[in-house]
Amino acid sequence: MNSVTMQCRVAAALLMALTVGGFLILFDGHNPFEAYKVLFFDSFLNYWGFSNTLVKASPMLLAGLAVIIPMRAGVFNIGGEGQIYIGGLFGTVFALAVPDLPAVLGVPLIFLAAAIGGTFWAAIPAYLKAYRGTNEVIVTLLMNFVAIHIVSYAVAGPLLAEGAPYPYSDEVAEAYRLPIVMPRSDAHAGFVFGLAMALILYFWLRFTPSGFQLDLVGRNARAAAYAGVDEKKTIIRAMLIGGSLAGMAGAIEVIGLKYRLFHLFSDGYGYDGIVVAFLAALNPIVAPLTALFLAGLSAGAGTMQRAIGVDSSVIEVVEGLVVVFVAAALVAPRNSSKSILKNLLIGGLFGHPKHNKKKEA
Amino acid sequence: MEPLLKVTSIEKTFGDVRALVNVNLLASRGECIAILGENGAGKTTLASVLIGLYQPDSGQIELDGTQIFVTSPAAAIRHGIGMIHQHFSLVGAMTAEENILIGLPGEKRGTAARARIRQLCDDFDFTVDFDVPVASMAVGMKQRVEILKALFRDVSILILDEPTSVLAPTEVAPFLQGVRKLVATGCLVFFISHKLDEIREIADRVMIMRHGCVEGILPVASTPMTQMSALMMGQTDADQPAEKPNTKEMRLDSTRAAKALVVSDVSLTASSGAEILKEVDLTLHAGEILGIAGIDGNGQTELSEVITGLKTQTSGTILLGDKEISGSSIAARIADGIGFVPEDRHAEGLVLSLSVEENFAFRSIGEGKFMSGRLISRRAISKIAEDAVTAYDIRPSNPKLNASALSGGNQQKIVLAREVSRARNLLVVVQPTKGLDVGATQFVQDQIRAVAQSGVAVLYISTELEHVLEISDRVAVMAFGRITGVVTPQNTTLQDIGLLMTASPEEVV
Amino acid sequence: MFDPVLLSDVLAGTARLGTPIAFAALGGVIAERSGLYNIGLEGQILAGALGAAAGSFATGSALIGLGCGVICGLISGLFLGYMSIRLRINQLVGGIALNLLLAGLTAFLSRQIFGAQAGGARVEGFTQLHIPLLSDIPVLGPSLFSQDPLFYLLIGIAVLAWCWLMKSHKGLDLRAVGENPKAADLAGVPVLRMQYLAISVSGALAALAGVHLVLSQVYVFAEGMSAGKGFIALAAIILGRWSPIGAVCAALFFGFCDAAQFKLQFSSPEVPYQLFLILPYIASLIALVILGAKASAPASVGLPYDREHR
Repeated sequence: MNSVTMQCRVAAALLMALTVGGFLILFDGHNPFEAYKVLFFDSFLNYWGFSNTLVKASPMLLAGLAVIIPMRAGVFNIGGEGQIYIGGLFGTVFALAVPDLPAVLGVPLIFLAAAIGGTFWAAIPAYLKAYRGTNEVIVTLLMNFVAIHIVSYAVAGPLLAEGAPYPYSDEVAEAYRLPIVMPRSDAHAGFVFGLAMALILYFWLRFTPSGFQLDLVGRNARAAAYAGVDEKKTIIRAMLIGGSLAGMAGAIEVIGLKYRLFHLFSDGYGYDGIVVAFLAALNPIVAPLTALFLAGLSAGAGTMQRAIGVDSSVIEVVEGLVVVFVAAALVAPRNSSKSILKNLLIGGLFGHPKHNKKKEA
Repeated sequence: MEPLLKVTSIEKTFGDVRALVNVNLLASRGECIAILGENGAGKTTLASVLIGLYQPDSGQIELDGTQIFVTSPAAAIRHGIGMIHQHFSLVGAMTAEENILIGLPGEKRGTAARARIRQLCDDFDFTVDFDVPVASMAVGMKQRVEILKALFRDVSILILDEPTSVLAPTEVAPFLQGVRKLVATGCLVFFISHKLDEIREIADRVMIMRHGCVEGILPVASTPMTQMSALMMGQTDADQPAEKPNTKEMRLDSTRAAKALVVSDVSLTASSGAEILKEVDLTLHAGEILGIAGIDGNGQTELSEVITGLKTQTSGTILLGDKEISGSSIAARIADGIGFVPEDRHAEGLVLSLSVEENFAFRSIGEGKFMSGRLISRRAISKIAEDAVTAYDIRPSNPKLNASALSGGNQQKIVLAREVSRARNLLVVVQPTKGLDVGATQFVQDQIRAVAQSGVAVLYISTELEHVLEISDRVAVMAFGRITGVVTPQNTTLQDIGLLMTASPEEVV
Repeated sequence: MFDPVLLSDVLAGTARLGTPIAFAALGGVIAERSGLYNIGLEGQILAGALGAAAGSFATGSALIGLGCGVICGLISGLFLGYMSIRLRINQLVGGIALNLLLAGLTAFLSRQIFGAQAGGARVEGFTQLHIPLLSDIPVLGPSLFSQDPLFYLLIGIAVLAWCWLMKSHKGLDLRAVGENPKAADLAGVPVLRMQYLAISVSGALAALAGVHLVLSQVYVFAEGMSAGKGFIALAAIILGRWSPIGAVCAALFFGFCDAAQFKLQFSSPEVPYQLFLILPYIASLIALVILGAKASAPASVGLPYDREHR
């Protein structure tokens, strides 16, 4: 499918999702156009609203990149959530253990510690997949839970701040806190970092042999073997990169927003990353846009509720529909003239999809 | 005898490939009909039509005089048509009994079923272990489970797809005996195979297919094997000389040129013990085209994989010029200047989701000519691609298009252009003309000749005997993983080559 | 720790906390046995919960609530099936999408149905069923034999499901579909129809988890009340080796760990309670690695079946 058609289809899918959401808003007794206007203006055109959007978008972007890179190599990383937790843990431990470094040294080291944490957490499913063929989806899912509980233990036990009413760690040193990019708001430099990573990764995939070869494995593993690329090594490398990215997302949440490690500090960002990655069609350079879009929807939902009275749950519905419609749009056969709508509605529950595949002579 | 099965004017086309062209057939009960043909001849497609996996575009099937429509495998079973696929369709985790009973209506699965299965085993003298999962069974036993599946369903027509290709030599005789018993009970058996000696042994008639057409349906007893193989490969006169006049002006006296490739005593044994390559010796000289002829499945593909590094041989050595490359990696061999046009251009030779220009580069992306310093130079790739597109007249000529948008012939040109430019010492091509029309075929042959003339040794592996003969200086014939003979096209007849191709393992030294 | 009252409490908690996970895990097993991942269990639990609350709220009858919940589950299962089978959307993405969709939809609809005080609208539910004689056994009695009816339904369905899957003809066919759909198709099994049925039933079973939460535990619908149980169920499927009874036992084990850690927080505050929480996941991982997932997961799970694919 060429990218213009694909972009058109994705746009159409987004519109359809918003339309259905609009009907729900109508059903709730409100004006959909007003509701959406408030939502989008607030999330993107209002200073404070946009700062909230940026705050949410930062971890989402890195989590999205953490799904994109492995997926380009053909591996499904849904362990982002756990990698965020362990990354945040490692980052916090380092920050608290070595509190006196200057910011220019300390912050990168914290990121490094977090990356190591995430990488370590991704290494286990990576090696299991490469050498034992164990399904990475299942392993990473399990490890997500383990990670959450490990952090929960850490902040309630060894890292517990003195006199804390509920589990959280001490604050990290002032020097280590990420600079604020929008004055008088919470919006920190995390998104900028994510943007930089997105650019680097895009560049890496497109202009370096190692990146190109990683992409190759995901497109056609047999052709990659024919090109002399080691599939196992590539899969592991992809997962480790993904883990380090998610780990750094965890660091950002700690030193960018709350300045402490909290119990349950990641509110499903790892899973949001899957949606971000998917909507970006696995292209790192598009991920910042989809992260902003998703974050904006989520951040603006609250404002929409306060201002118009529409329940924020409508936005969750829209998010779900966006994924469904975009997914349907992207898998529709290239040579089919059926529209997305037709594909979804007509189609016969028990029919076989009829493709006329070219037969190899 | 009243015919059981009557197939009339069956046609089946996939995209622009005509897989079945006007197929007609009359067959009776208690007959064994072999279906003979090369890969792509249409044998499996015909079987798939009979078994309900594909629907014919036109034509009809009659069973006992009544027209039937086999719209699904379930329908085929109802009509008593069964098939045993080459690679089986068994559920590894389940036992033999469970596999036999899948999909049957409830009444047939009661306690009587067990007894009936055992009875069938006795009748046909089968040994089957009923207590283990199928996955742990030897291949021969798995096949018996497949046969039991068909027997249990009271098939009146059974199609066997290359049944002995997976068996060890010792398992073949008992299997053929089982088939004989089946035919004796009145079953109509279709035996798809390219092994002429087995066809001779087991079949009453042989149906020869080529490019989707039925070339002939002949009684086995009175048809010589050479005629069968000739029809299969498309020659009408088996005694004509192999060399067609005017196809090659200049013959290279190869023995004086430097040795480009020396394969010594190379064997490849599979984990099952099957000998895929046995003591292969080959010598190629610079500028020579050595053809490898043979019926598909006799080790040619594996030979190419061993030489190019995709597989490692079990024993023996390979020398490229003076350098031993026996254990070196694919990347190293690419760097050594070995070009390889693989058999499956979609799965291996190209990455269809990448653009045409990227397909020129993907196999050795780190190579200097694609790079600018340490980074990939997209501009360099574009330039190289544009030059190749022009030189090889690849259409459409936009190198930014996805490779999937091009026709088979143009896709092959991409692979050819890429590998020809890479091949400094050796070019290995496997089935280079597969699926190509006359014009594209001619182009490919010309390009390969040009490569050889520039001093590169070419290993030309193909089952299209006509193409092999027209281009090669010498031809090595393979059968059962061995080289059965090396001939020069102008000094051999097709009959001789046919005999070399069909030499059985015992005849080969 | 071996104080009989404490033990009895923990066992009762096991049943209460483990039952929703067990229903969802049962649903997941049926789906995966037919070759389809059901990552949407979390959303389906919510669908069942809302259906149950709405049905009971409207009619005052817990049974009707149960019926409504099951129907909601069936529909959501069918929808996931349509996405996975017909549209051939990646099953993991489809499940995640379904979760998002249902989380939002159930929250939205609950406000429409129950008004602003959704959390306060109490509905009629099931009360405990005391099995005569058995419920008088010390320790085990109050915990195992004085449970709500849905618990007994769970046990009954688990046993039935196991018998059907492992011993019946159609169960064999379904397992064949999950292991090797091509072989099943060639043997005449209606592959797609069986997958649709399996995923719908899967949704219905997961919905029963939600029904239990509402009608046997808290008697109200609350947004997001599934609280990750749908994901824990996925772990229980693995630990239970894709067997209906195994998955239910594994789910109850998860429930046990949850109940135990809660008690542990009070009785032995110096022991990190998270150990108990982590235990079942570590057990699942070990089971996966040592025993090898390949040996127990249905061989063809997650791969869409296309008859014309060669």
